Amino acid sequence: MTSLTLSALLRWLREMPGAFRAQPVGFPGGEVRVRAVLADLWEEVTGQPAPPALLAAFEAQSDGKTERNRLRLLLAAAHILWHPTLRASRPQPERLRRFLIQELPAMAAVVPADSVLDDEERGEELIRLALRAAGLHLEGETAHDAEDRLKQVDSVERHRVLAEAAQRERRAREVREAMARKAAEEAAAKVTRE
Amino acid sequence: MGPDDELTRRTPLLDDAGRAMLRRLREHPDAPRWTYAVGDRLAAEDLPALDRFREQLTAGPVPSQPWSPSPVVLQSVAHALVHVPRYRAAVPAHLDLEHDWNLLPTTCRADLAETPWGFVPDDQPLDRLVIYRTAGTTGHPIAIPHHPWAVACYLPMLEHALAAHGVHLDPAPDTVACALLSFQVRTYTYSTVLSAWAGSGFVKVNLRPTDWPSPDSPARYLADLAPQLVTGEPVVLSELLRLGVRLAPRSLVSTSLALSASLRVDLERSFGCPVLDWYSMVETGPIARSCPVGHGLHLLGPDVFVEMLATDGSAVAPGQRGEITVSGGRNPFLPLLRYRTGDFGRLDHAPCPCGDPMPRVVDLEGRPVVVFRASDGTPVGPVDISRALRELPILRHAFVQHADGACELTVQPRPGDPVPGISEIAASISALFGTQPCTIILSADLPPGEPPFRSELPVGR
Repeated sequence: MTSLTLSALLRWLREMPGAFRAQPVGFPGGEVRVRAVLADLWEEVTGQPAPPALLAAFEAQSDGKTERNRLRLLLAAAHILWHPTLRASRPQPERLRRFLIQELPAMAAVVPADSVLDDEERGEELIRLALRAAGLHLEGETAHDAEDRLKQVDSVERHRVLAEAAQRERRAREVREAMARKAAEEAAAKVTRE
Repeated sequence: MGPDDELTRRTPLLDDAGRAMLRRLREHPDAPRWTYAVGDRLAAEDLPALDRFREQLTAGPVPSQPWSPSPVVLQSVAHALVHVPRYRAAVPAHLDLEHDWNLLPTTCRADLAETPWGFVPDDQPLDRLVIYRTAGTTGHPIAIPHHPWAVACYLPMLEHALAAHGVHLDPAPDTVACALLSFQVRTYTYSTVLSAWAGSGFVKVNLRPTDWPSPDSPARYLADLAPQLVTGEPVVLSELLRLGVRLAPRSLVSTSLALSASLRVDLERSFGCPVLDWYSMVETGPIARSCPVGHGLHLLGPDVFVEMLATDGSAVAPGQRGEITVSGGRNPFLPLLRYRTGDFGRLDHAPCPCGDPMPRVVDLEGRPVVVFRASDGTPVGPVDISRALRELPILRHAFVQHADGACELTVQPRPGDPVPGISEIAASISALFGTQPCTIILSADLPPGEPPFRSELPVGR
């Protein structure tokens, strides 16, 4: 079994094959069906077919950039979970599910998918989330060490701290002004009353 | 900006067939007075996304056992907790949403009324923002941030609901897909084409006689347009019956207010088509539609989670009455987290004879029909009152008409704004009610349980 060092996993991530780097179907130039990739992964690592309701969460829910980013980060996460040691770990389905439908969308909300390849700390964050989902930690680390280090690289928490500062007021003002401006314009035709 | 630029700004996918349809709708000799101009604002890239949404609906949402938020809802809430200021401030990071769902805070209409901007995700570009005001059926109108794509999603949802009743639309550039009817003192009326329905025509018209060239015009205009679908509040559909308009729509869709069984039967008999009951709110989008065999209203969206909550915010036992509460949705400017609608009902998970696996809202207690009378006997609806008051700095209001016709309006001013003048409020009311006496009361804190509209007029008056 391959040793679980951070450097080895970062190298694994950087060497992600082209199929995992492709644009998701549903977006311009889309080639890869994220749902199909995750369906294969789920069945391989849990030994069970993924429930259809779970797979529905791996389809594009809109055509926005945020959604594309979430699906691209899912592909990167799938590649990490394909690592032979993680694959063989037989993660608990509940833990894996939480990673894929809660922790990963939260990370994708603040981290561009490309940065997990370009920025070592973001790559480490994704690797550590995947390891936790698989019930593993890096060589030489205790579970406590792993949690500590994950907190240090946690972009969601960092975003929350930053968002509480000056930019919060600026954004609130921007939205208030846009709402006042747009309220004076017509909206979009709606075929029912509510 | 020239007239054609204005048209393409409002309806970016408008083509020559669409222009011809607009001329037909607007220049018809019996066309009503148009008070507004609006389009669907859909861009080319919205159409494939709508097709994907349509596919998700057709694939059929799979209800979970036990009933819990779907993975689609959970991933959308996980994103919202990071980017929506209001939620971020109220929910600790990394909460396990599946395990701790019942610990999440609830939100309500008053939250939206006070700080709607606090619900807009801070990563959402604002260029496609549109604003809707709630109609005012359930209280003082509030501004809801929305997105044209999310509004267009109503169309595949209607298709899905109609298909359950055996109805299929064939929208085409030379057909009128839908007519939305109203009957109000004043309302927006407009005509446009719907890019998401093959560029077919759509009109929103007011049946009030003063809006038309002649008393026979509404019947002639609507008969000539032959809309495939007619939507409107029950009182308006009832007016359609009274006017004797000869129409052959494929379906009528009753919205906004409770539809009585007797009116449904009358409408179905007169128009020879299914009548759907549609439960939808501006804040949430469509929530449920009537079951074809009459067993309540089936939940619609694969991307929303509906639960019933007790007044203390706890989940009620399965099958018990509670406040209809909605999470998720597809409006990128307003992701919902346990939004309490103010409507009550029960959620029935028992298998339905119609075969639809989605749970049903039953015993819905939402928005009874309330009609007031002006001093000359003219009917006045809650929406007319809300509309008259909506430009005033009011947070909430409660309007009562007593048995003798006298009215009482209590208003709670919006915090931080100048207190509205009594004379200004009184003028807005007398414009609707004529010489009916009306007492205006300013209140710093209107009780939350106070119904926004109540009529004590004798039945039949």
